[in-house]
Amino acid sequence: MNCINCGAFLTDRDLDYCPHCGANVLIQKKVEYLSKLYYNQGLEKASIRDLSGAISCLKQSLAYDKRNIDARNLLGLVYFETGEVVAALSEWVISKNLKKNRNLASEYIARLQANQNRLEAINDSIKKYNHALAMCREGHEDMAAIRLRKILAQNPKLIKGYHLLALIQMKNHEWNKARRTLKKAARIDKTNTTTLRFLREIDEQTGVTTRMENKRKGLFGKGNREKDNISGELVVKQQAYGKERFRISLFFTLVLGFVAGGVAFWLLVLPAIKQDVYRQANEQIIQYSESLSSQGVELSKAQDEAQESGNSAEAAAKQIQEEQTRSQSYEALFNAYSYMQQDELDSAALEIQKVDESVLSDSAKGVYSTICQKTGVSGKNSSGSGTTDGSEGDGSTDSGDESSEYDENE
Amino acid sequence: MLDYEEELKKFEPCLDVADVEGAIYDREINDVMDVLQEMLREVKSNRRVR
Repeated sequence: MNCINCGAFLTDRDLDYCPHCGANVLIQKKVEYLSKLYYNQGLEKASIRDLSGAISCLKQSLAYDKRNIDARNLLGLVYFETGEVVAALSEWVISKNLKKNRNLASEYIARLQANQNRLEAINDSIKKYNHALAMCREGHEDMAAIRLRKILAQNPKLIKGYHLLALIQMKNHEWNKARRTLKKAARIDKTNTTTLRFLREIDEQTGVTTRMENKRKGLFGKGNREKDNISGELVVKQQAYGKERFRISLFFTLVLGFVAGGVAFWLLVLPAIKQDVYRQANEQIIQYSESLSSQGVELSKAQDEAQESGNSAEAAAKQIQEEQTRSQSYEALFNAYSYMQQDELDSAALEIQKVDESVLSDSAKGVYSTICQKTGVSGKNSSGSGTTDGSEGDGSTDSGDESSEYDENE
Repeated sequence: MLDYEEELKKFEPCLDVADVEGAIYDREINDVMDVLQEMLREVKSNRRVR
């Protein structure tokens, strides 16, 4: 701080006079103190988004000491937050001129200039706002409202835009829309007099008090909800300790959201999935059982075929055996006949014993009976009892015996 | 009940970025210290006159 009288730098801050010229600097010190006091108040209000209050305090601070750089920079920042870019730039440029080195204003200006697109967008939105205001004055409120909505989408910090849009909506008796618009403005600046005035008018017209609580806090913030009308200090208090509560409640809200989602999934989606799985399993079981039954049918069919083929094979074997018997019988009959022609009755008798009568044809049977009569021996029966005729057999045996006896006698 | 026309009159056009220079020149940036200095100057000049 320099002496107001001679401009000398005051090193000892406890002295109430200038050690160089002896001038009384007590008032100067008090003025500086007041400037810092208002700056602190402005900072406190800005930190809780009481931007209108902050602007008032910071202006007061600068009225006491225009060289309070912190106050000027903060004022620019608050202006920028409310969409007043020109006012913000003015404060920063003045600040930069008052203190050229180590000044935050230089950084702010550089940042703004670095992002030319954003600066142009803001400038464009300001021009459109002015145009919308002109349209309102000409009576084209509908067009102005449409334009203002676009402007606010482009530059959502322009509080004046919200106010003008809310005014048009109030004129059209769209109270709820106006309330929503003003709530958005109140989120930027909680104590803006125009916002509060318009909201009070809406409350009077609708008979419903506007609630400004944050929905995300609503789950755990019942205590804060009691009187959170956007007037008075309560909103400010809510914001003062709201940051910490906000994080905790956000976490719990997220957890609850996940749990609710899980429960909804369990109750709604999972049964459908289960049913689908069961249905698929049932379909597969039906398919398997069908294929199993068809395979069983095929197997029984194959077994029948195998049995049939076995029977046919047996029949064929039997037939073969019969044919063999028949051929043997015929061969023996033929041999017996041959022996009989040569008068070798003993050989013919031996051969005729091999003949099965049952397999012979009628003509062959005639031959067979002739040979049997001549030899006195019969063949095998179809019953399988290969026998000789009783009396005739005995005779032959006797003759055999006789011959043997004859041989022995010889 | 708000009067629309009266409220509309309170709205003023915003300055765009091109008007920054003019806005800065138009600004009154005197503070209490300037007033005090002015007063001191006046006091001194009065003394000299006497």
